[in-house]
Amino acid sequence: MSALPMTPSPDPLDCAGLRHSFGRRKILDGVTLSVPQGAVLGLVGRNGAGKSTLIRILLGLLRPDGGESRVFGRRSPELDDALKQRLAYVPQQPEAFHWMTVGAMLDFVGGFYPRWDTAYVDAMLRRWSIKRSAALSKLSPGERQSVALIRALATQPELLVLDEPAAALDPVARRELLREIARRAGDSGTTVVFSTHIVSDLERVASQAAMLHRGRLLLNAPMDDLKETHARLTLPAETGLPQHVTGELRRRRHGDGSVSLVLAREAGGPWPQLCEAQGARLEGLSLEELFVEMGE
Amino acid sequence: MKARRLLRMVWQLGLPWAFLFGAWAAFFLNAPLYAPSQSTAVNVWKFGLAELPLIVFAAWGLIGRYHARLAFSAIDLCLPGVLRLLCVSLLAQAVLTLGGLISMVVARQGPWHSELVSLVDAMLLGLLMSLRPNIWWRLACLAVVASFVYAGLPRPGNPAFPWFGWPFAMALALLLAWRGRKIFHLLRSDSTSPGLRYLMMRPGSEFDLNSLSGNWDWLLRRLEAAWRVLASPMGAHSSLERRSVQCANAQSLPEAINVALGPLYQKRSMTPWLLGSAVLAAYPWYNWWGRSSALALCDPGAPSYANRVLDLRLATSVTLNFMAFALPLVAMYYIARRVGRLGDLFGKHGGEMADLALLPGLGDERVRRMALLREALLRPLLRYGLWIGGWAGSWLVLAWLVRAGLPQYLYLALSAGSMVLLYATIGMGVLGGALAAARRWYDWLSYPVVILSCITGAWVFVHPFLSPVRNLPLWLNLTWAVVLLSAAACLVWWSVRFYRLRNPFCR
Repeated sequence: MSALPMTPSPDPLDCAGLRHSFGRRKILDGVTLSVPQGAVLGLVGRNGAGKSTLIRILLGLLRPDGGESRVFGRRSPELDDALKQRLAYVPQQPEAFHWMTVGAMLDFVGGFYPRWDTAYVDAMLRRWSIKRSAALSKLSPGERQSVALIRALATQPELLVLDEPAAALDPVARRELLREIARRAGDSGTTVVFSTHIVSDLERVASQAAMLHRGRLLLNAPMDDLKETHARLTLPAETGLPQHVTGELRRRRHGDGSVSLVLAREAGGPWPQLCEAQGARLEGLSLEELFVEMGE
Repeated sequence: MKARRLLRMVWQLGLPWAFLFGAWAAFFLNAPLYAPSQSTAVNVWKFGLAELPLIVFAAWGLIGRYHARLAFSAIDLCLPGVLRLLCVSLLAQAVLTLGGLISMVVARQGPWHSELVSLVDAMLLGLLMSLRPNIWWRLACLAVVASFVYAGLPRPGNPAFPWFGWPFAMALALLLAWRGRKIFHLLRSDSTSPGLRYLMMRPGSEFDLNSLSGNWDWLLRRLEAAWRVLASPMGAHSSLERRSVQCANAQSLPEAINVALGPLYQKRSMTPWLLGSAVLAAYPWYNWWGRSSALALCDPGAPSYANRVLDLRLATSVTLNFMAFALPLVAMYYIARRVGRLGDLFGKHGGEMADLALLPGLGDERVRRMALLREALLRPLLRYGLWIGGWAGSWLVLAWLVRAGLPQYLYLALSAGSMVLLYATIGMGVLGGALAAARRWYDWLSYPVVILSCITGAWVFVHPFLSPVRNLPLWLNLTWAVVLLSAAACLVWWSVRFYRLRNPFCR
């Protein structure tokens, strides 16, 4: 493994030059990312884009082929107990301890965390109508994910990492989860990293969005800037188009010969001259449109 | 299409009943045939008839139903790929079955051939476990166990030969009673169950491949539950509560690892284990007594004392070889089950290993590594090593009583020990692959042992044809010693590798 030179950072999560492959398939290709204290980072990308792999590498659960990741400034595979107490992780499919009851699992895990919030656990179990005596193996995927979320939040983490946490939740539970994430980030400065396919969730709580596509980080910007700094420029067929337009991220030619470009600019900066060409149409993009354009 | 569906209905509805009726009829027809007889030819026929229902039962339960159901579904759904897979599967199982039959024939060719068959089968099992650990090992275990049974049986000329039909008959009776009970409950119930056809055909039923042949866990779970009932005055219902208390109090690293690894690893009362050990240790004596009685029945006119002394020698020489392989196989099963469980855990991204990796308060990586190695591998090895030791010790006492020769002692100790180590080593190889899937060189670590074992096995096979064998037990001991030492060396090497992994919880 070749570690890139990297200055230790106090950010809860950061990585530089992460590369990883499964066999010949390249999953991550030079991903560099930093999540500042109190940020809520939404990680989006298509299936197989490498989101889960990135999260597992960030937490030290997977050894990367190259690059380095740090949690609270410490290399991920070398986290000590004090750092582990400060972070919580909910995997995409929580499969652990399926042979235990809900209560037994929470008691077992809670014993390891000095800040374990028993009152919160009881309240959430009541609210989501999950019995302590229920066997984890008998729960539905959504209930199991709910239990995993309760477990993660009960540790009162400073860094919360969620791998598609809302995938199996019903709309009510999903909304409550998002509200809880926003509350934690707002009240106690919890840093949250979550991967998702649901762009509306991202818009609701994320302060920063990152998009992975084929192992590369295509976008990484504050949510407020994304809409302002990205737009779609549609040009008629007869417009002469240079090889590369300043700020061009994606180019697509349509059946009628017209061309649409996804453009990015500096915050407050100008759009390229081409936007003023005859017949050119510059339009803002919703987040969903932006991710669809980038992911295609 | 209609004709095919009709055929399918007849097949599904008719064959189970025909099978049940045939098996019951065969059992009752065979039962009177176990009367002792001195005629070899008659003995062979009796034995064959006694085994026939069991073979039919196994063939239907293990292969027939599963393949028939899949084949019908594949034809209905026009899935040519599935048919090809079925053909491959049938071919593989036919090879295994024929291998078992060939083993049986070879085992009967001479005094040392049973050992040879066992050795070759062990090598094949090792190969299968190493190369295809998740697919074939259970089936291979079945095939090897069957050939061990054949290899350990006396030849038809032996007056005690018909006695060996009884275990088969009893096994068949138990299996049929098991199904009879199901049918009885089904017929008595007023539920809206789709009926016997559904009971027998649905995936996961006791008639299904996964339950009857492949999924030994099902049987083991029932056995463990029964033992728990015997061990605890509160019965099995308290096990969940007890486990919950264990989970809540598991703050130390070994306890946490045991909890995380699942019920298979959690501490239980020693009573069931001791109970099982006692039963197993008593088994040789029971076997000796049973054969002694059978031999006495064979020749009622002979003095009872002389018959018993003869039978002691006979029983010891015949059963020592079989048990020497059967015991390590049982232990191997338990160890492989634990190693397999560990491999499964490492394969789950959102599973227990990720939890263990991120749980605070469990010490540094070195401590975790040692604890995982100890709890997951060393402790089961020690426990079942003691179990095997107790069982083998019982046989040794019996052998001493009947004045068995030194080679038989050596053979018992070496073969049992080397088999355990061989399979533990292969298990470690599989585990090594699971731990470090991205490192291809690690996957190849299991090959040297297998190749070494094959060379040893081939040497044993070829050696008798090169020169007259005067002291074969000694040569066998030496070959087993080679396997034992090489397996031990590899086990140590793998343990060191395992220990040097910087973080076993991080793949």
